[in-house]
Amino acid sequence: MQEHARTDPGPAAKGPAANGRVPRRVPPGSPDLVAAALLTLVAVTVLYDTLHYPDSVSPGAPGPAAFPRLLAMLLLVLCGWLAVRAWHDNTARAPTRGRPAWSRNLTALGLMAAFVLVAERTDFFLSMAALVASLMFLLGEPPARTAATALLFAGFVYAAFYWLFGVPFPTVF
Amino acid sequence: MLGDLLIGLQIALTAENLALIVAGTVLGVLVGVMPGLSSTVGLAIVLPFTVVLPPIPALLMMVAIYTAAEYAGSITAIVLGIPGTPAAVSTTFDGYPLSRRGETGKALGVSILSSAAGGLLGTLVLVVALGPISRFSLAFGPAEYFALGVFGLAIVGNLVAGSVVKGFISVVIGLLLFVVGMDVLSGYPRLTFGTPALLDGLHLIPAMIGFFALAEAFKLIEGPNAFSGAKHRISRKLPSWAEMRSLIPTILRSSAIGSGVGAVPGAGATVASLIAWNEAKRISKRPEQFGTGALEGVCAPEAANNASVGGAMIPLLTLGIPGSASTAVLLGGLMLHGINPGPMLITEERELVYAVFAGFVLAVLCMLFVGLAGIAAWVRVISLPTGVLTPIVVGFSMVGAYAFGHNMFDVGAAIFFGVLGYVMLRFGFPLVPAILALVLGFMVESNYRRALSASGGDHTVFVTSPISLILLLLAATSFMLPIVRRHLAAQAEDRETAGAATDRG
Repeated sequence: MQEHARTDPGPAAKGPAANGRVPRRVPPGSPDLVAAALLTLVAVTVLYDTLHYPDSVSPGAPGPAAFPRLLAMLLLVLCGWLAVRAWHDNTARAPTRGRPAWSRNLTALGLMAAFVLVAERTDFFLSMAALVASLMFLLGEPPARTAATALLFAGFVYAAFYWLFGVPFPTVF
Repeated sequence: MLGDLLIGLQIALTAENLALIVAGTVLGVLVGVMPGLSSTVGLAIVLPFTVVLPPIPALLMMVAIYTAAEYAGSITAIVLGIPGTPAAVSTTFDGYPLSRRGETGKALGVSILSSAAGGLLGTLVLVVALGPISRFSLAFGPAEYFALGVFGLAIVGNLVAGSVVKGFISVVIGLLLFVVGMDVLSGYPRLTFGTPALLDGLHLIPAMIGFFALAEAFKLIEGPNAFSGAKHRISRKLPSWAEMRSLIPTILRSSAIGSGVGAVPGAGATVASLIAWNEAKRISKRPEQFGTGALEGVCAPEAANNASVGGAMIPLLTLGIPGSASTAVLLGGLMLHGINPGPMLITEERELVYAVFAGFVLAVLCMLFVGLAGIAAWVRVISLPTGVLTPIVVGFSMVGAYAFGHNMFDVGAAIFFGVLGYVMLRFGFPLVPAILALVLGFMVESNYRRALSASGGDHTVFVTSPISLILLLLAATSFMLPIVRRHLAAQAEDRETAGAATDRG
């Protein structure tokens, strides 16, 4: 299987498909190489930050810098290993199935961020209903079910957690 | 011990605690029956709300969720061929073929009865083993606890990931997330980059909600589930007493496997159920029937995965090491209530420990009743579309994160962890090692520094203690074994290729 993978020129070399599109050729192992590069950056950032930490006050005992430095160096070693393995192993790809729906996820993330900004300034339950309704609309649910579910959910949270359990949500009710 | 158990039962049998056990069981079945969710998601969402409850009722509810969800994953596994929880993968092998033959009721009946039996036997193992293991762990000092933490993380990093290096990177990510905030021993701020809100560190609750609930929600938002909205009719004929009697040896063997494997950090219900299915097939007089609808093929994984619940509680309660992602959340629950698991727990919190034992028994009985009575209802729940389920999960996550600290920063933190968890999953990095590292980070670092402080900076303190040395060697073996195995497999493949080329020549 590995031999076949090494000699296979990849989808792009096979020419256009029946629908006229040329599949994009992803270099083997590139997601792992990207991950290794990003994590190396994280490790370097941690090492840089620990340069300013004080030494330990007790002789022999490690100070606050010891553990994060150890972790950063371990991360560098592991990233190197991941990168080398990704470079040599042609079958090393991130376990994804096709292209993910990034736009839907980004929209969902935006809706959650908007909820965080708005909920405390207005009303938690109304904002919650709006968030649930927006997400249901994003996922293609019909309007009637969307409105009913969002209101029922907000009502349930109000009754169970605000009124029964006494969690102090910011609210006008 | 019997007297303590009776006291525990008395505590667990109050109206309030019973109501919480029933509520936890229903919630556990609801999250377990939904593919894409799991007991860990259910526990992570409920955890912040248990703050308002006293410790014992809170733990009883969480134990009920854990127990019920481990069973409920089998419902979709049998009806749809899609496991509701990772531990139900093995149940699909024979459960789904049985269902397709029109014997859904029989398969679901075998599943619930085996789960109940496995859960009770696992609880028995927990009750018997807790005392001796607690006494053994009294010999643990800082060096031993550091080595134990390293061992736990090494096992988890190895077992749960398809790739060992990604598993260990996930562990390091979790430990780095733990470091953020004020250093407990010196008070110096670490990795806060001048942000005052990070001085208090990254809390466990928003991390768990983000990693387990929101990351899963992002995956569900990605694309629709093929099974959502489907309608199913099931036959209600349950297995006969003769059929269940013939499964007793399988139940006993699988429960033993489940309890033992469940106690190994990182192994958990999924590994336990796979091993149990495999053993049942290996020992069976009719192994060719496995995979086509053998009753033992449903019974074995179900008994094992519920027995593993008791097994996973052993290292949690005696050593503070979670045996699985769900017990990591339970550990979060204990810490929220100021309870420190360890060798002294059974003496300092005797009532709590025995109430939890009684709670397990009651949770299993409640699960049996709810499972048998509500089979048709749970199948209807499976029909809930992703477009309804996912926003509700997100909504509960927001509510749970806010309920923890009563501020929007924690909600924002949960979303951050949700995004981080989703990105990690897309790149193939498992989340369980990261969350376990976040939980165990304090134990690992503080004991490392305490051991070196006591020895004057002499690192040989970690190898002069026999317990510490053995644990560190096991951790190193766990790290090296997959590498050696992969190297040997590659060499064998090269030899085969060379041999085939010689034959052709």
